[in-house]
Amino acid sequence: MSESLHFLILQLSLLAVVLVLHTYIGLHIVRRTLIFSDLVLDQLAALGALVGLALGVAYATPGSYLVSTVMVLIGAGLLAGIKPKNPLIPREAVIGTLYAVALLASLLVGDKLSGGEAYVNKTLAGAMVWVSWPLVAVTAGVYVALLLFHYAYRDRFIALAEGTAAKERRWDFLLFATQGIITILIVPIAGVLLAYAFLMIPAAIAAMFTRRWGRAVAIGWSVGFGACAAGCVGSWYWDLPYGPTLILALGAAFVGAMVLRAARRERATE
Amino acid sequence: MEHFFALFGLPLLASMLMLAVLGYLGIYVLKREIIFVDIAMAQSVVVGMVVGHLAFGVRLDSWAAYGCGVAAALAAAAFYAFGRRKISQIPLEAMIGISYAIGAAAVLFLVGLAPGGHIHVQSMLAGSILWVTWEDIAASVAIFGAAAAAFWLFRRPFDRLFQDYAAAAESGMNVVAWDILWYALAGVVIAWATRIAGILLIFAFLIVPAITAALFSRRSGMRLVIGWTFGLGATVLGLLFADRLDFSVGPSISLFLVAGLALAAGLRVWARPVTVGLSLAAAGVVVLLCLRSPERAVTWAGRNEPSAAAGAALPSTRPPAEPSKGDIEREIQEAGSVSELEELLAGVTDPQFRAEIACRALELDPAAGRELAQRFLEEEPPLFFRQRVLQALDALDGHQKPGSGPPP
Repeated sequence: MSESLHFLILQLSLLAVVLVLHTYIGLHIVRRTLIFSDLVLDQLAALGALVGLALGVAYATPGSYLVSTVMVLIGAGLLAGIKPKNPLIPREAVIGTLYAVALLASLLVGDKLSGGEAYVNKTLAGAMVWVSWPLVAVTAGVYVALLLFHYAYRDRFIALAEGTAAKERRWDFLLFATQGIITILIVPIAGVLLAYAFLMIPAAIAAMFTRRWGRAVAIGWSVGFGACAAGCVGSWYWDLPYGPTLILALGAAFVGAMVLRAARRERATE
Repeated sequence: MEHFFALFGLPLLASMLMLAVLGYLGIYVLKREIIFVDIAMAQSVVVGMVVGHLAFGVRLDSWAAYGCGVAAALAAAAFYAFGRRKISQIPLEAMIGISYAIGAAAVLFLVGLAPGGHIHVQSMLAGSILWVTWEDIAASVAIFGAAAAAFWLFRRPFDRLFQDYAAAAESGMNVVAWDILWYALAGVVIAWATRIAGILLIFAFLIVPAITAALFSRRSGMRLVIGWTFGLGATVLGLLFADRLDFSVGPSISLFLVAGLALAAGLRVWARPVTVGLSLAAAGVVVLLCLRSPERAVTWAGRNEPSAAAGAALPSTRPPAEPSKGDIEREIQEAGSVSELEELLAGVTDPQFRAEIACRALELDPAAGRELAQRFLEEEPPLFFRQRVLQALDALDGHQKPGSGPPP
């Protein structure tokens, strides 16, 4: 087997693992309209990596992951803790503000960092080319553990989405913390935008077609994996930028799903 | 102070104009829970501008680029209006969020194909409001004035649309057309504001004053006044901060906007003594900022040259820059022997360049190069770079040409 094919299979296997949890968490995010929350956590993870660089910790090393984890857990605490009672301020507005804070902190740190622009760009675009076997093993291990945790406590998390949860803040924190941890693992590999697209697009496609959780995860994973595989192969074959090509492939799948959904609705109302 | 107004007078004026119209739009955005809309719109504007630049060769700071941006914003407006009408299973905010990801990816995709793309990305995020000119101010007055007049003229249908979309649709109102008009007007404003201020600052101007005002009043008029006043105060402090501590202007203003919001929220939630204490501390910082003189005189060279790199926007206290990517690549290409490459390898940590050095060494001298490549492979580099060097080794054995393979 050639090295190139080997590398492609490695990428696809990683995508297959990553997409299960991302689709499931994404369904929570889409159904509860917490759309920005992932960008907040992604941006905080990226900020952690930048702060690490400022402190002399190299990018995508265990030290860098640790700084990102601290940032992301603070973010999860803020996301779970701040719930405005004022009807004029939706929760998404708080999330948007936190995003602005995280983004501007990244820009300010990048401003003072030698070569900061390049790092800000790197955290946005990501680089699947940095994938190494230990990273694949750690990522897969953590994802499987989190999946098992979410499967065991699925009733509690689903109650959150349905507005019937007890101890809402605690379970909210755990949801955001999960989202944050997968973000930390995926951002150095995929970048902020691709991580966001993995979470949002397959889940939004699935949510258009079913309200059942199991079926939604299956639809989201299948469509998401198909689009990512097409993007991956296209990027490799035509020598296109990796992350953006995958997002555009996912985006095309989303637009296709919207058209299909609208057409089916029109047919149903005729 | 004279120095401050000489340097920041125009940016302050531009900020006030943006604040006037974005502060008003922000109230609608909060009402409809489409917080993301301006970031997504701004992103689509940038896509239009970059497409215009790459396809037609228009300059990014030209009117033609703005026209391309507005065209892309209109496409986004139609997408949101149809999405809102036809898809009820997912919130509009999700569609907006996804359109943002697609737009941002499209920009990275396009600039990834064009050299020097990352500089554009950074400047689009942070903006370069420092370089605003009198012509920009005049154009802002015209564009924002026209948009504000249209918002005023159509305020009743817009209010109906934003109060209760379903009721408006049932009453026979052409909700898609009005929605497109609203988003298009917002797009025209955001397209222009993005050009002069960058995505982050527009986002901050749009939502932060509106949220802060909502903390103190439920009446639309009063919220507008509070938002404008608050935004102006934060802008002045942000400019002072940028001036005295040598930071980029856009992020500095945004910083004071969110810090102000945090204090305002504290005032509503925490005990007053705590907030008063925090406010006094903040006021102390501001006084110190005003008393502190700028670290060095700002030269006016390039004041009217927006093409100057965004990174050079302010006098710099940055450490000397590391050799740039281009410098390292040139050194690798210019190296005449493996020993020169060995020296270069000792000073480079980035696996991308280490792999390039190994490939170049193999080209120069297969025997000595093979040793160097072997050492690189023993470092267990990331798989992609390992693969590149392995391919170069394969090529030596006559199987394949070096450097081919999947793109970085």
